[in-house]
Amino acid sequence: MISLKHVSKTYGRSVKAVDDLTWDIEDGQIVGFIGPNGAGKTTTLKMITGILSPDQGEITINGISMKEDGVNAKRQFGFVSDSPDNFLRLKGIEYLNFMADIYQVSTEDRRRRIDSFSGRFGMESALDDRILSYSHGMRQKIMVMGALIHEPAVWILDEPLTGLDPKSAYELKEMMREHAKGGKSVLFSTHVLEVAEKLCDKVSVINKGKIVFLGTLDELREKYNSKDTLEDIFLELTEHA
Amino acid sequence: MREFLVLTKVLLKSGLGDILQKSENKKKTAGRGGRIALYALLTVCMMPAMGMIFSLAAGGYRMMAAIGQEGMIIELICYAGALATLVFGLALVMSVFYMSRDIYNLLPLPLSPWQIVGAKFTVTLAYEYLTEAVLLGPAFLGYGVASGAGILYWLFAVAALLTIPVLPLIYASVLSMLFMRIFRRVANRDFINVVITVLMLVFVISFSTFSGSMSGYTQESVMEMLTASDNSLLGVMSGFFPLFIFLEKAIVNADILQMLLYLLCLLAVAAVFLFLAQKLYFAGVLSISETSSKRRKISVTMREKLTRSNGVLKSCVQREWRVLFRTPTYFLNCCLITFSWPVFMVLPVVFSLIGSGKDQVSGEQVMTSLSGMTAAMNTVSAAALALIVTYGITVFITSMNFTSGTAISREGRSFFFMKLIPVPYRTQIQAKVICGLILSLIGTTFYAAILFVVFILLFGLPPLSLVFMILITFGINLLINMIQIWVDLVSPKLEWESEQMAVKQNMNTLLEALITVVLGAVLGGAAAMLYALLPINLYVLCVICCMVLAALNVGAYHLLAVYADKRMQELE
Repeated sequence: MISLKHVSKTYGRSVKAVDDLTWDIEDGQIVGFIGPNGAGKTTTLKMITGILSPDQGEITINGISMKEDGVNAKRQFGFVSDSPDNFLRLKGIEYLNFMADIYQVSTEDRRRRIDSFSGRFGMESALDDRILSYSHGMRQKIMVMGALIHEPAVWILDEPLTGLDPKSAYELKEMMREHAKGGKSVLFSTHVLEVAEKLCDKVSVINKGKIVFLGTLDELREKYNSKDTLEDIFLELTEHA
Repeated sequence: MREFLVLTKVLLKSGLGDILQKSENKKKTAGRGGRIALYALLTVCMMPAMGMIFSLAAGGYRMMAAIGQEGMIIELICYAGALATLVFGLALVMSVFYMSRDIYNLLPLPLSPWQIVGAKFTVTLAYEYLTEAVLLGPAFLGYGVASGAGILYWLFAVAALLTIPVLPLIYASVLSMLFMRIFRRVANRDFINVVITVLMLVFVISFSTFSGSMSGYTQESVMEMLTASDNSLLGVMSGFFPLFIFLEKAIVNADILQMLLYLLCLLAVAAVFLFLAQKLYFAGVLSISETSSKRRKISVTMREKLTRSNGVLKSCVQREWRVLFRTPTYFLNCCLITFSWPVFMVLPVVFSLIGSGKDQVSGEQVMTSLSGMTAAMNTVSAAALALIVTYGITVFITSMNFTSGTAISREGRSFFFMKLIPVPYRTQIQAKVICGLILSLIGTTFYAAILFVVFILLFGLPPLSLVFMILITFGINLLINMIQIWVDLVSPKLEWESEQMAVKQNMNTLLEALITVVLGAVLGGAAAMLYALLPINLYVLCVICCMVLAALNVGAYHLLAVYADKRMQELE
């Protein structure tokens, strides 16, 4: 479970990227995080993962405070950033093994998971190549594999489906469903409303640093005009907020 | 032309952004005030060196003017500036023209090759001006003040500062474009970068050979050349940059016509260069691929080998090591340069020995005189001398090795990963220091140990001196590495377009070198003074030195660990 209490973040002196955010992401759910560009999605995810420090407020992951015990809090989740261009000089297999070492995954477990992930994502023949030679989608897949190698309880994914081919996107969505079914939580940001509609148990809509809606899609439709498409509702929420 | 100007402006802004623009986030860098303070500190630190260049130029003028050869000073300034530009410019041009990330954004734009090359050339030139201002500015100033030069000299000196890097950069650009064109079928970025690296080394070594052979002149022949005519001694050097003859004559004689001739010739060369760029650039740049791939399933044995579990620290060191050795820019600037120092240091000796074979002393005679020297000194004094020389060389080489000093900057946009993983910041910093330390130990202690063993065998130095040499060089290596990473941690350069910018165009390295050289000199000087002034046994002094170094290292380690925890939290 991820918990944010009165979290704020300001860039420079005046740009308030996230404004007094209070939000609990419960276990067993897939939560979609949607909002227009620059609304504060990535900043929020970066604060949850410890990449950015909030100016105010507290963040806990499975009850562990990111501020007080960052190292243990970071063990609780796997994070896929919006940029997969990392560790380009390492081979795919070296990157996965490095991640497994970092999260102290046993040799047996890491081998099993590498085999399973590479099979699902069709990456078996790419593992011995450097990430530099991968396409954008392949880089995204290897980053997803690295983030999940320690079977984290909480998945935090920033635009995880960008660049993935249909089969891999399908596999990742399936994996997210399986994970949530197992009583664990998935938080992911997306711009694709159809994906949120099909995949999420709950959505959180952020605009100008504030959460303007939090609940199920049915509740969203109920609250606004149920005849409108999700796209219309989203536009109304973000443009007239 | 408009496109060229717009592109140049954009590239200059993004390329020199961190130097010219104000910082937006106080915590991310040292903030605007901190940045100004950093540059002010750097300027103050560089003052002695700039002062020295000023005095050398002024003194050189007075000396040469007495025999009517003052033009040689100008020729030397032009030549030194151009040569420095050429040596450093080759890697820079490769990086800016072919390796930077913006290429993929520029190629789809409706721009001609000459426009892209012209804009990138201007950006590279701007980088060179920073170096030229420090190196050549004081030299022209010294010459001008000493000669009581008139307004034309100063105008021409400014023109020289602005134009001296142009010709060598054109050489570097044409060479890299030709090279990329020739190797376009087999080219991948890493391969090309490594080959260029080797070419550069060959160039530097060839130049060392050339310099070595120059030292073979006798005093009489030098005097003969000096009295022959203006610039006769250095005429052979300016052959590399023939246009400089006009520039030198213009400056020395305040001759407007010669200056116009020089500028016209330079314009003509630039036009030819842009014409060549139009023909050559796309052929090379369009064929580069970042790296090759096999796309075959990993074998069971390899899989077993590559998926063994390791400790966190070992894994971090391994990752750092792989990136260092597989990234050509890092390999050149952090690894190869460290291993090359001994070669550079030994080469002049070898060349002078070869050169001297004709009419001076032979190798055997050198050995005899060395052993005579140690015999005259007694073995303890010889050991003391050997220790202080080894120490000095170690401080210099380690200060010039920026593996630790750019360790945070090299992370670039992947820096977020350091904050994301569940590994204490101090462990991550430790891994980086270990890599830097291993490289600097190989580059210094390893060679020094070989030299010591030779000296022990040949001249009977006490073997105990070898033990102290290893302990002392280890101690100073560790201390310097920790200081370097500390400085980089204060204000790392995380925004860069090419790896070259993280290492070569990182002002932190300059500051680190200044701090560590000064610290090394203070520590070494203090030890030497103690030995000279007090009736103290050499080995007792060595024990004290080792203890002082150990205490400094323990203190530095703890302070660095605390600072790393705090600073990493702040950096965003």
